Amino acid sequence: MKIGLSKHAQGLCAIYGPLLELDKSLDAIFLSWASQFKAIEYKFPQLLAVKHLDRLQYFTSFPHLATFAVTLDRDEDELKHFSSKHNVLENGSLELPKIQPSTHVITPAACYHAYVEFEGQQFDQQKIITTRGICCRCEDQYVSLERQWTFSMREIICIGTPKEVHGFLNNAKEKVDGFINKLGLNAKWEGATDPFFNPKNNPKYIFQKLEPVKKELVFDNRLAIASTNDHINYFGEAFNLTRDGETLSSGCIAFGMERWLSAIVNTYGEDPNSWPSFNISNA
Amino acid sequence: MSNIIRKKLHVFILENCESEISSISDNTPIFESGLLKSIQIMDLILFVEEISGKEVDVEGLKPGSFKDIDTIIKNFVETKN
Repeated sequence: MKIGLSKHAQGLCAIYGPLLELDKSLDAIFLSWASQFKAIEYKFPQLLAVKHLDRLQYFTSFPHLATFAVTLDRDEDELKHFSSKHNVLENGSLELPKIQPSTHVITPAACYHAYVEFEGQQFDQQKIITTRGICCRCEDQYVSLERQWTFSMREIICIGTPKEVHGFLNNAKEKVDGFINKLGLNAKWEGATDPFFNPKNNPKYIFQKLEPVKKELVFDNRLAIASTNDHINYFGEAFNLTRDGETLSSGCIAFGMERWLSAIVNTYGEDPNSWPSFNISNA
Repeated sequence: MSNIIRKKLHVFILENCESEISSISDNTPIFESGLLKSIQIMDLILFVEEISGKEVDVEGLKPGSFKDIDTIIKNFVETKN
């Protein structure tokens, strides 16, 4: 029986059948945890304004990962010319005529939208939301299900005081640990740093080394399938998220959906009948 | 020598801290308590290099090595090159 995976191009895969059902079952578990946190679910757009990402120094830290949304210049003659003369080259690329300056990036991480959503708000209690998005990160090499140009990410995000955020992250981590045990996956939490560009000169990279703010759940010592990230007040300051005049902290737990599928296939084989069955009630 | 550097660190942190405080202890967590922002870590490292005369090996940094003034002195001033 096929697992339900097809490769469309480097870094671009489709899933269907057994893998898609597994994806839905896993997401139902993650959503049930979000529900226990009384999280509100959001569906965000797939594009994020460069002005918002720039506020996070994204283009300094991760220029190599960004995929920009570009559109052609609105000039009628240019469009007519392109409409009739465009040419896809043998290597699969398309030469573009004049393009407009890019205003948006294809979302690189699901949680960024949450801070944009709540910009300038004053909260009287902690705010927890969840969202699932297709994220886009340009890499030098791709591996189906494990390192893709576009991939799915489920996140649960908490905005609150440092104590509230730490409580949320610990609680979320415990839920994941229990589930991993039941699934029988060989995975453990490790301190992690993000893949910064020119890291030695980036204060965010250095800070991640000094303060263990990010942890990754690493499967088989090689593949991060989930992560927790304590942003401290980084997003709170960038988007003016406050309570009683004090800047709030934030933290999130993220699940790389395709990587969970890979971890289960790698553990239990390519016969879907041998995959573990689980549901919300026993997760 | 350590005491002079210790005093310089106090002054640096208070001058670069946005909160209106007049003194800190040698054990006050510098980043965890919000005295300095994460973005200021580079400035702090450069300052430590300047006052200690020793280069900080960024790749070799371990969690907590810039936790507070005591830790900085122990890790980057009272060590042999």
